[in-house]
Amino acid sequence: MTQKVDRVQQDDFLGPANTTVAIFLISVLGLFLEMLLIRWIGTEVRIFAYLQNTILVVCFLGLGLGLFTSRQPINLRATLIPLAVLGIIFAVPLTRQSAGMISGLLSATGDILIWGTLPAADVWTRILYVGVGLAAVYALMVFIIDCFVPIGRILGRMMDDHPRTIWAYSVNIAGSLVGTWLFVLLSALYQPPFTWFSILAVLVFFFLRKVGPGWKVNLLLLGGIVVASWFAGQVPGAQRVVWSPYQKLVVIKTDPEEHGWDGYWVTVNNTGYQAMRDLTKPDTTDSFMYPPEMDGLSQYDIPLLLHPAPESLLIVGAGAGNDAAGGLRHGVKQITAVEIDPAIISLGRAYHPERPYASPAVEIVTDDARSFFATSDRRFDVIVFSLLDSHTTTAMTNARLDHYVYTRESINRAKSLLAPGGVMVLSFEAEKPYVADRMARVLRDVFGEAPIAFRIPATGYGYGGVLFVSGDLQVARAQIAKNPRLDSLIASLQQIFPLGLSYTTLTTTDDWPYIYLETPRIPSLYYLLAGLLLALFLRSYRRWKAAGLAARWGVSHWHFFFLGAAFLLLEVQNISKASVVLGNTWQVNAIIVSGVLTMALLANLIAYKFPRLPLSVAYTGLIGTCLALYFVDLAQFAFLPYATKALIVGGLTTLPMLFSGIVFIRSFAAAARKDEALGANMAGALVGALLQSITFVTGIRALLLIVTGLYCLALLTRPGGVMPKSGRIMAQRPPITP
Amino acid sequence: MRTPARIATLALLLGLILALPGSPAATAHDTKEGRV
Repeated sequence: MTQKVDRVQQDDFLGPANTTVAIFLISVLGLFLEMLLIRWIGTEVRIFAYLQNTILVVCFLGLGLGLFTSRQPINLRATLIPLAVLGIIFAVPLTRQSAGMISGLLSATGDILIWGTLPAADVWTRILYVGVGLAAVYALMVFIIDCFVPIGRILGRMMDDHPRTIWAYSVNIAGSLVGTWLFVLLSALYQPPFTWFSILAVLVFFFLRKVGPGWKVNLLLLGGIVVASWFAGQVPGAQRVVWSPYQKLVVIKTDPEEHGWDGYWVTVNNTGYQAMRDLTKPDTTDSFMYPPEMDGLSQYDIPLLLHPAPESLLIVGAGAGNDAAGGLRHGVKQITAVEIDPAIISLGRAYHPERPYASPAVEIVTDDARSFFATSDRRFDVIVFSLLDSHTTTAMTNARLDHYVYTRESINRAKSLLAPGGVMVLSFEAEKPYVADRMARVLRDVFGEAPIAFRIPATGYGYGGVLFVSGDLQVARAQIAKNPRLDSLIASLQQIFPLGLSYTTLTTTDDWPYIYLETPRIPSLYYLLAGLLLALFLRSYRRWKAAGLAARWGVSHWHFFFLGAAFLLLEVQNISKASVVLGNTWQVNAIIVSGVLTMALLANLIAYKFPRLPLSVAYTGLIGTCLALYFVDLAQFAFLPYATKALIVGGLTTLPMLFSGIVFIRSFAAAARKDEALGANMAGALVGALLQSITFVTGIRALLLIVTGLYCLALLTRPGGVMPKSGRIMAQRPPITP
Repeated sequence: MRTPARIATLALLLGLILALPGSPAATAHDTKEGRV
């Protein structure tokens, strides 16, 4: 888009006349839009639900470029047009479907497993798929990055012009965190894109008349974006669309003519997930869909047949209620159904034909499986890990929602919930042999005996997957021996679908939870995306006239760069650790974000009250707490009540940020150009986000050592100077000499 | 590249994806297979 430089008043107020309010609102807007795009694009182009960092990095890149070039003209239309384009793509079903296919194209690299695979293809077809996929991602990213540049420029200019640095920075932090919180809150309240964009429009409106020319056209664009977002939230032919705190759920009533069965189908983030149908009345005339040998022996029945008298059943990943219905069919008196997404439970209540969640025998627990294991002291005759493969992550980590459920530590904890003679049945859709081998090996390590394992094919009785039976195998084997039909079914399944378990695949732990990665290495897709981001940076560097930045880049820029990289990695580390202790739920983000807010504001207060506090104290505290956290096992607090452990984990993990906050604000107050300092910080953060992939090789805990190293580099590149009470000095200004 | 050209490029790519041979629209969880 052409910049109309001549019509832009450089010294105009950029938003509300009160600069505190203006900084607050632009900070809310920036982070709200970032959260919105991370969720929205992750939902519609599913591969980015697993690679949320990519969207985060692009947003940071846009903000950073805006900060670096804050003295250039600002035109809000440069934000609105890309948003309108994205809105239209996701509003029109055909383009939405096409954008969604990017996931399948990129999965053709073959070393990142996402649900939904490509048909077998030769190497050139795969290269074509990945090439077209990357080109489409690049084209999408261009629009995302451009959205953020004007926002970064507004923020940078206001921060640089503000007379009270600590105050301005505190307002910036508070605004950023309110923006994050606001989006988390909307997600928690099941709000669809229309609500997100309506709130975004209100935030943009504050700046609409002040920034750039043609505000009436901009207002029309803004209205158009909100209208498009309404269409983007709809799915043609759907019974219901729910934007739950975790994902987009669509309920479709199946047509017996078209689909061959009658019931309800639930998709998650545009891919098939689970069905609800009445298994008490299978259509036995259709022997292809309902093989007679599996009648009464579905994956939802078998776990209950492996125990002589199951009184209590625990289901983790209970979904819409297929497992609970299975338990009820076998007369289980106490069924505990644990499901992380409350929306899926509601759909089960409303649509499941067997009405399992209406039974008084079923107790529903809305929680992460891992969190339930940690806090429950009950014992169960049968524990079922249902097919809880996930289609999303909760946060900025590279571990998916289901990752911490299948680690050795988690299975060990689940084992302790088994009653004497109890049986554990774990179902998993192992798309690759190593995934099945990994699960089997974890179970063998924990139970000291190899599980009984067999693959169940997809039929009308269930989606199937590999079933692993552990626990008291003497009991399970006796049950199988007593049931000739079951015995013969298992024997034939083991023969037809040999699993070839070798017990050699690396097992997953809380430190290395990557179920879908065969060996510790960075998947090639990550390198391709990093290359793409570099190309994007070079393009945007020219497009947004950031030339000269490289020449100006000095030691103090490096200082802010290292602080940014360390900060982001520390936050990733915190969320990963907190996910293990508190459960991998959206509340974890809120807790960590709140911890960061508290620490940053506390740091500002300390810096303001004690301007002569030796920085050596802050650096010692910072590096000391990072190293100390490396040796502290936070999992030991998992058994505590939720509020207590949230306080402990939130406080302990964010403690280094108190010290890094003091270092940052002291350096920031001393920086000659606030906009460039923030820009360098942002550039560091995006490199930190890319560095996160190292955990695929090193495990998560090692990040703390990298963080410590980055803080040491920040120490080596620190600017000098003592901050006066006003919080504004120019340490790098040359001394005034007569 | 100016905005209209960028929009046209994106539209072209999205169209190309739909036209790709063996386009990976089919997923492992396919309703037509009647899986539960």
